[in-house]
Amino acid sequence: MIGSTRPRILLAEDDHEMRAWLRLVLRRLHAEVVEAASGTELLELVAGNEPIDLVITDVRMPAPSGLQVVCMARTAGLRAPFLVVSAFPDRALRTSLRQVGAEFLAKPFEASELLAAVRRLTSIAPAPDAGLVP
Amino acid sequence: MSTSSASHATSIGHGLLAQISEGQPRRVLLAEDDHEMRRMLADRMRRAGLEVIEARDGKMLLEFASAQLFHHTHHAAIDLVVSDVRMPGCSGLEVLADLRRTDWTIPVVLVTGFGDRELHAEARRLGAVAVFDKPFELDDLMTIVLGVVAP
Repeated sequence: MIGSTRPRILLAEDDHEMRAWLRLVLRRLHAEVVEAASGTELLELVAGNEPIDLVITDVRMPAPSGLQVVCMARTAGLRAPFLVVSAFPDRALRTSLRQVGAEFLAKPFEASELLAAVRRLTSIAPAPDAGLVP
Repeated sequence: MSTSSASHATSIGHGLLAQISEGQPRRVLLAEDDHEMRRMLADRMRRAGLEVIEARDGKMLLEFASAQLFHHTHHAAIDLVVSDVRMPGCSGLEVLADLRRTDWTIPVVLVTGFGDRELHAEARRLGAVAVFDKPFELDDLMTIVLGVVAP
């Protein structure tokens, strides 16, 4: 991202404590973060007209699942990067995420790992504060 | 050949919301000219509770397509297409391109024995859910298939 345009990140997580923590961590990126608490809410956001620089979603959510959302988005022609988070990373899931062009992050993860993944996927410039905990 | 970006953007929204279908038996159109591979895939999908329509070559796939099985009213008659890219009669990529002239709601998974980078890129551009390079794990394909069609 160049210039003053803030990157726009969609965040889907049904566990509201986890979502609050993610919100706090992502604040360091000065991105616009839009939240969803279910697959359906995420789909509504993805279907909107505003640009999307990254979608972060838990794989396990009230239907549709994170994986289904990625599949639907890809079918509809959306090519924004997806970062899918899961506490149960079985091999089939990891492979299928790769297949649909989504990246994977296993829970539990450090804030720094999340930020590194987001920066890599959105080309947000690295900040000088390397992983300081709030 | 590609749709304009403006009409494409609005069709993303329409396409996404149209994909949420009601709980009917899920139907997969499977196009694969390799008889054994087709049998293996069809059996596995049927065991997972899916209805499978088999096309044994590109010609049959095109016939199904033109028979308006892709035309949806409240919901798609076909919930997912799984197609080999290279078959006698036509390429799975051409069928996808043809479909995408008018429809961005039907998920398509491609299977190929000759998957170069350009093919993957073109498939993505045309809204393929995934491209599986042979040889692949059947479990991995089924994860995507069920990820797409499961209620």
